[in-house]
Amino acid sequence: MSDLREMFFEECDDLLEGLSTGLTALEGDTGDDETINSMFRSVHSIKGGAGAFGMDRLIEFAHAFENVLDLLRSDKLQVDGPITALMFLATDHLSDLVNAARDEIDLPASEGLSVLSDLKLVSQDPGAAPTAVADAQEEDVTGFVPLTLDLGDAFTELPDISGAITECAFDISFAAEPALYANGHDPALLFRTLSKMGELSISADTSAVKPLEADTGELAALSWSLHLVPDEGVNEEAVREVFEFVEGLCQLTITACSPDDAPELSIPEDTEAVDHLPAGTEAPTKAAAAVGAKKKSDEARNATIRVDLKRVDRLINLVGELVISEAMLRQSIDELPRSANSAVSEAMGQLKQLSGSLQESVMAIRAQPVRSLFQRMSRIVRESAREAGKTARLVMVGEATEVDKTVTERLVEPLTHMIRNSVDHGLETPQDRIEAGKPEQGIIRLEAAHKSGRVVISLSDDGAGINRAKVRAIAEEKGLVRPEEDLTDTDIDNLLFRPGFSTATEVSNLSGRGVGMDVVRNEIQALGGRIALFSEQGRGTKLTISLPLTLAVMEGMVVTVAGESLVVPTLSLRETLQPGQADIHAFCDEDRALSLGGDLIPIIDLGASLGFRPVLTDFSDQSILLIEGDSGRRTALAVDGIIDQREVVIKGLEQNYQQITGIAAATILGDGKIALIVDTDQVITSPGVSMPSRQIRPELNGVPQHV
Amino acid sequence: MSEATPQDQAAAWIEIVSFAICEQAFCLDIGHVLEIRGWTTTTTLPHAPDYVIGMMNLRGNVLPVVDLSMCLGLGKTVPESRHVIIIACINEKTVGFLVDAVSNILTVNAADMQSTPDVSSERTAAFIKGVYMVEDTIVRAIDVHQILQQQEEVSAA
Repeated sequence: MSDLREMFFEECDDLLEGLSTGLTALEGDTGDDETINSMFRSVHSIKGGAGAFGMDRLIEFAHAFENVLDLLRSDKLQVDGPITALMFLATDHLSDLVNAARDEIDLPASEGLSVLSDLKLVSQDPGAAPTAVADAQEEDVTGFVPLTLDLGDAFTELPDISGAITECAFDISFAAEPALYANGHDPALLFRTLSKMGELSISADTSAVKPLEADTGELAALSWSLHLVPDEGVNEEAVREVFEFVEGLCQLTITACSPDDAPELSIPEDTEAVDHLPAGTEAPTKAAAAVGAKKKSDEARNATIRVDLKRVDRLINLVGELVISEAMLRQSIDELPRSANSAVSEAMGQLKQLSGSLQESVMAIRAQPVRSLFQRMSRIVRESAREAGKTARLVMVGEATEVDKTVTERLVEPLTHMIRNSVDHGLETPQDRIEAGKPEQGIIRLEAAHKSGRVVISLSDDGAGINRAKVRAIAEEKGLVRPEEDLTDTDIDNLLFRPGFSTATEVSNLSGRGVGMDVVRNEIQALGGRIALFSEQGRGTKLTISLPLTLAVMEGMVVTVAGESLVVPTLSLRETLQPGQADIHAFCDEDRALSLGGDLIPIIDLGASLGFRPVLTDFSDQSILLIEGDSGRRTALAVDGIIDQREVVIKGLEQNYQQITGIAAATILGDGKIALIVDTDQVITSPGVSMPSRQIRPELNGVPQHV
Repeated sequence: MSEATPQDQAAAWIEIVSFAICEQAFCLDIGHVLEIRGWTTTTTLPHAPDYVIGMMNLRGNVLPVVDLSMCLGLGKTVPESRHVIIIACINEKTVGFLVDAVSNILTVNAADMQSTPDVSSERTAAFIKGVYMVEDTIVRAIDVHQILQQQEEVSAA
């Protein structure tokens, strides 16, 4: 039973996601009949599941929501601003109810009450809603009136009567998906082929094309209506064949009609809609067509399977092993006498390539688009805007960008925080915006993209930008900077990430920009990411997060210390140096500092700080890794030697052992040996670790503590 | 005992893996043992208790190797190629135990376990849960949970 329950809630996540996708499409005017149908099905399925588990409140709400959607899909109600807004509220509340049911908590009875009563009001009397259109055609025999939402139905298929209608004309509505362009198809070529089959007239629908400045980079805003009066012998099949190669990449409706007739009414795809039909002569054909269409559109969707994450993790581990074994094999082959191995090394090359792409494909299994994460954020924008008394719109770009599932999950908190900040402090009040000559509605832009093996997620607002004078004043007040200190704009912006920084006068019940930004940064860094901030006075602020594609692999510098191989993550690594003795200055007994460009940087002997050996007194033979910690503090790590820089597969230590201070994880090198991955922040900041002489275990090597 | 059904008697039989440390015989329940391997080099862990020798790579799994001799107060083992690592799974954690040699797999009756003699020191009492008499030798049954627990306590401290 609990399994079933769990499955229901998992399904709910998908359904709710589908619901918000649909809503966003409706809001952006890119929705069609199928959008509303699928939204209806989502709510209906949630209601059904809730019924099975006796979640009464959820059932009641879903039912009211469903009624409104039903009116929309039967065109008794039209989509407009207030209705869309109501549906957004309803979706948010529905998701609250689902979460409450999952966690088995009771939401306060008052919550969502107004949404529920609005839904009921609208569904009881569509005319009562301010802009709802009373539908006079309720008794219309066909039951089908084309929705004003427009654009073609996907794959509506009429029964094969092509032989009989070669004389007929065809009405074709064609809307390309972004994938069509991505795959290198060109609608113009398709149309050209069609034009050879008869007399073709084309009109393009440009209504969904956004103004240039608001262009989100989506290419698929255009749709076309074509009317073809075919030459003799051209049947529907031939027309369909033209679109054969773009099947699944577009929304296509081909309707046969007699040349003089108006185009046939479009057919909603949902089979449930057919129930409304009176038993008329046309009904059976239409039902058949609708069923066929439904099947096709289902096929067009990507087939997916649910897999237990543990199985995927196991697969990822195995592939990691394979890659390591491959590296081991290569290493030993390289050591063979040269003459013997040309065929072998060729085979090795192939194996390397194969294992590389195998690793990539396996990693891709855990990858999922950031869409669901972004959609959660659109709710945060709405809610924080409401609380702050501002109007804001979330523009999402690159929702299809794929990131490791763990990464998207762990991004929820920091992103939520950042978005609240953006709305609360980034955007000005509507009044101020109008005075500044900006549109009243602020725009929050959330973008995701892949850049050189990393994922870059950026969040920007078109607000006032950071008030640097104020930030500086506050930092001085809090003693974070001295008044005489010379700070660049970037330095000042980065003050926002300092722990304890807060633009106190601006703190509200949401959050202040700066309050908790250090926490946000820590969370991003825990994911192996970096965060950067850019701000332009009067134009807005942009936060950029750069993350590794997966948490399983990272880039590291392999070094040796006291005979052990260690890996230092390159994330915080700024520079490597071979110091001349002159650059190192002693302080008292064992502390050393490196002078570099006028700064004195403390040196930490990595071997000693990990307790592998007593602290060194002579660093002239050491290599220095210059590390920049969390707070921008620089530290020089002394190591015996640097071997190379490479990608390493991360192996947690907690599973069989436990956390070790100063060590983040382990990895396996090409020769099968384990190398520990250094947690540079801990080595730098943890006082216990950076004072090696008091930590060292005398029994190690049997050497005295001071040499 | 005459009323005991055949099933009860069957359930009472357990298999143990016996091994030697400093010429004393010890054993643990075969249910814990995943495999037995020859000594391989380990990677030293910083800030680890003295009986944790280091981490070893078992086909991609990173697991700690514990010097059982050190744990039992029999002195530090200087590992050589003749030493053996028993890979054991305890409470879902995989741990390697370094021992001198593995002797045998024996089937004993669980009811035949005798309590540890009273002469026991605190350490003996903690890590030895009992003994089996196998022919003329005494085989000391190790309480693996205690060993793991000690490892956790020491390293948490």
